[in-house]
This record gives sequence, structure tokens and C-alpha cells, in this order.
Amino acid sequence: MSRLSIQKLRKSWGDPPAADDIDFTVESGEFVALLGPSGCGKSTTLRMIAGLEAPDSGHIYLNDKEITHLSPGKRDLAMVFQSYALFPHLSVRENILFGLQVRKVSKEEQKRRLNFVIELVDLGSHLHKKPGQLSGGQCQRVALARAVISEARLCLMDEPLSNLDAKLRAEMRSELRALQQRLGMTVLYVTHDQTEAMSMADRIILLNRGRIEQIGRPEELYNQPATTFAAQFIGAPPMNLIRIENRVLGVRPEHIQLVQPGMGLKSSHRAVVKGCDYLGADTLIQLQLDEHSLQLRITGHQKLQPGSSLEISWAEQDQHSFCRTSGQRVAADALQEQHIEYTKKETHYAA
Amino acid sequence: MMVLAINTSAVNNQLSLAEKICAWILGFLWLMPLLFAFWAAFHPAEYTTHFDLLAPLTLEHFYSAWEQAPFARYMLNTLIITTIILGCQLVLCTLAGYVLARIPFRGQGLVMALVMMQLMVMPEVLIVENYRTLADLNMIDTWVGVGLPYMASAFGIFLLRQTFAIVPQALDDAARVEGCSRLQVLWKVYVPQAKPVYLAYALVSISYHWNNFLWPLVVTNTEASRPLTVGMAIFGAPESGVDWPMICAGTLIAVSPLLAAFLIFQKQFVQSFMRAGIK
Repeated sequence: MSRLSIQKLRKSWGDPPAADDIDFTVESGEFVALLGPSGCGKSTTLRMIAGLEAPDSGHIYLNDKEITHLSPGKRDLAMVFQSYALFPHLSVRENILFGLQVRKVSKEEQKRRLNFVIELVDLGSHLHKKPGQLSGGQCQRVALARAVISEARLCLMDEPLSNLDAKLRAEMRSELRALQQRLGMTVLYVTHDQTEAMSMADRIILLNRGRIEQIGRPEELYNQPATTFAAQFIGAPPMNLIRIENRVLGVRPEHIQLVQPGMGLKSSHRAVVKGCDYLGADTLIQLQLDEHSLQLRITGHQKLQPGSSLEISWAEQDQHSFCRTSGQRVAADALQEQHIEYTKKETHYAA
Repeated sequence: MMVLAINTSAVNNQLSLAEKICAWILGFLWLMPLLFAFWAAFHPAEYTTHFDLLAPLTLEHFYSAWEQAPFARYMLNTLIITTIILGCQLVLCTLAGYVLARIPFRGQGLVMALVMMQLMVMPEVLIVENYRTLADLNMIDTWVGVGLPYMASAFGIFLLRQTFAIVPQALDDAARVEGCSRLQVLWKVYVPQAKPVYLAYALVSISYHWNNFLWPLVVTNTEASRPLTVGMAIFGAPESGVDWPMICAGTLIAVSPLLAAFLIFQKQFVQSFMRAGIK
């Protein structure tokens, strides 16, 4: 059915380029998230795919047909905008049917599709209202309905949930995912929120400074971050990075365990408590390990006095290692050596 | 009339008593000629300069004014000229405003500056040059000839540019993704959102061109294209003897459509000036 393929896409307004060397594919029926901090080029990439921005170089293919230079309306794709982009002078019904009317789809077909999507997004009672009379969540549904009704091959979404409040956002997240699964939609979803990307996407494309950092399934990004950037961007709070000589060692706060003092585990380290943040289900503890700052996440309400010391350790498989200069992940066989290196150093301190 | 309209609207409660009195006096002064025209037109000639509440009412001046001058023809000319001007202004200003607001091109700033400069040039300064151009085009004494110098209105371009510039870019994008061409986007997204501005602009334009005098006087020669204002001036010219009641009646015939429109659209009329930031 629909397969999007991006090759060597580049767009620059100056130095550094807004997007450079962007290369990826989205398979039919797949939900792919373009994730990254603001200014990383994710929206630029999306707008180039939509045809709203012309790339400097590179190619965009949809179903093996090159669409790089087609006008937005001829690309056979739909788009949901962050601001919903509903036309304020049109009713909900007219907004949803806007594209079909522009494309002169027959009246019967319009009616058939409208009935289908209205039921899908549960908007039946609001058809004659203007967007100004709707809540944020309802506006979101109208925008979604407008994208679904076009039956386009590809649906682009530009941070569609970021204007909703936290509770509604969580609801819409699962609703959107369910809708995508039910209709088998191919979705490319731009977000800066890693929770959204992790919970909804089949695959995540992580962008940083206009370049792709890593492409992979959510668990791959979490378990095997390709770079220090990926390691710090995925997961909350971010992964602890400890710089030792020419390597960077990474451990997630949730993978650090407390060890009973005096157990004499050879891989345990003594750290000093700097502060605690109680989050409800668990507590975040700031630690000082030698000259490194660490965060540790443990369940329950833990009251620890600043200045007290803790014995911590982590499993070897939870430890990540990166090159200090390039930030690239170092292969697994080097991991063992890395761990020993840290232990040695600590022994050195103790001596 | 402007003063009166502002005075009676929202500003009312923010003014001190002294300011209110001043505003009423100014408004009254403004209204005096119109009140006199009403008085003179509806009463016999001997009461024109003699105020008496019990003076008999009459419509004879209206009959004689209508008989003596081809008001119907003048009215038709004015109507057609105003319509042509407004129609062309709306089309040209919409297109120019959209381009200046949303389509970047080389020299955009310069074009915008030139448009703004045109706002400062009084059309009367250009009368001789415009006349020469129209003579070359063989358009003297035609409806289009009267309207042509006003069609690319700088005020209209500026007003619509400002209005289009605040329409969210996402709406433009959304319409294009949904399959609209540039012109369709303009027609389906920008124009509907600028409706109140169009109404306000149309009112200002109509009132200006309905009342315009000097240029039509210069460029028209016959009844074929002469608008009401010029016709009125010839009708009331001293060589034919000044008959004040009849001139007043003629004037009232001339301004009545406009007066009615102003009273109906008073609020939008004032708002249009507020909107453009020009009072």
C-alpha cells in the first residue's frame, strides 16, 4: 500500500543546516515518530514531506513515485497540525468535508465517508458548531477527522497533542493509537515528547541538530542508545553519564540499586546523598559518586539526609558505554573492560 | 459625523462631562449644514432663512429639482462609477494584499514602502498628469475614466495586507495540503476571514467616491458620465440664479442613499478606521 521513502533530504537556511542527510522509510501501516528537541529539524522534515517547504536537495518517494517537487495537494497525504488549523468561519461538518469539496468528490461519497468518520471520532452532536465553540479535545478530533476522511496514503502529524492538557493528552494518545491500528493508517508523527513517541510509535527516528541520531523500535532506543544524545533524550530522568578518560559510561537512574552496607559486593560503590525529590510512586535521589553527579530512582517515599552515604551498584547488562569524543556507542565486548576500568579507578581512590 | 459616531459609541463612558459637552457641540456644528438642508428643502422659499416651527411642509422643491436636472442619470452614473471603482479595488487590493502578506519575493519591502508612500500623496496633486494619461487612452468622459486613478488603492492594499498577515499560517498550509491552489486558498481561507474588513473598507470607499468632486469635474464633460456631485454643482451654479431650497432638495436627493447606508453601517464605518489604526 503506502510506503514513504526519504533519501538524502537536506534543507538549510544558514549554518548549520536545519535538516541534513535525512534518510529513512516508513512502511505501510506503520506508526513512526520523528522525535527530537525543538530546533532539531523534525518539523522542517515533516513540512518538506508535506510539500510546504522545498528541500535544497534529496528525494521523497511515496509508493515508489517521486513526490519531491509536487504541490502539497497533489501528494495524496493528509496532515494534522499542532494548532489544529480548523477554519474558524466553517462549521465542523464543513471543516471535515473541506478537502473532499475542493477535490470535487461526489456528494454520496462525501456523505458516506462523513458518517463513517463522525462515528469514529464521536462528533455526531457537534456537526453544526463552529470551531470556536468546541473544546481543545473536540477541535483535535475534528482535525483528526479531516485527516482520516481524505483516505490519504500517508498521514503526517505535527505535535497534534501538545496543546492539550496532560490528562486529555494521555487519553488522546491511546485513542489515536487505537484509531491508527484499526484503520491501518500509515502515520509519521512529529513530537518533542519522548513519552508520546515511546508509547505510540512502532519505530522512532531520533533527530538532533538536523541529523538523525538513531532509528529503532522504542525498546531499542531505550536499551541500546546509539549515542550519548539518545541516551540522555530517552528516559526520564535522563541516563547518568560518567566521563572516565576516553569513555563515557551510562547507567539509567532506574537501574541503579541500593546495596546493604557491608555486603562487600566487589562491584558496589559508595556515594553521598545530595538531595531527594519525592514524586509519589517513587523518589529521585541525587548522588555524588567521586566527582560525578548521579541520579537514582527508587520506589516508595525515601527520606534520606543530605550528606549520608549509600552503597550502590548496577548490573553489567544495564551499563552502556560510549566514545567520549564522538559520543557513539561502543560495542558490547568493550563493555566488560569498561566496567573494570571504573572499579579500578575507585579502588585507586580508596587506597 | 465621525465625531458624533465615536461620541455615541463605546467611548461614551470614558469621557468626562466637559469632554462630552465639547463632543456634542462639535457634533452639532458638524450636523448644522445637514439640518439646514433638511429645513430649507422641506419648507416654502420664504421660510428658508426664517425659522418658524409652524412653517408649512412642502415637497415642491424636490419635484422642481428632479425636473430641472437629470438626477436619475447622475445617480446612475455615480452608482456605476462607485461600483466599478469598488469592484476593481476589492479584486486588486485582495491580490496585492495577499502577495505582500504571504508570498515572499525579491524587493517586497520596497514595494510595500512604495504602497505606503502612495498613502501620503493626495490624488488631487496628480490631476494634470492623470488627465493627460486618460486623454492618451481616449477615456475622457467615461465611467472607467473617472474610476481608473483610484482602482489600485494604497489604503485598501495596506488594510488587507494587515488583515491577511494575522491569519495563521497553519490555515494556509492546511488548505494547501487539502488540495487548494493558491487562488483557492485566498478565496476559501483568507477572504472569508477578512469579511468585516471588506465591509468596512467598502463603506469608506463608497462614501469617498460618492462624494468625490474635483476629479470627476475635470474628467467628465457630458451627462454621459457626470456623477451627482458634479451635476449638483452645475445645477446650483450662480449663473442660473441661486435657489437655495431647490439646491438643498437636490443635495438631499444626492446624499440620501449614502446617508441611509451610513446610519445602517455606522458601527462598521467607525470600526474600519480603528482597525486600520488611522483615526
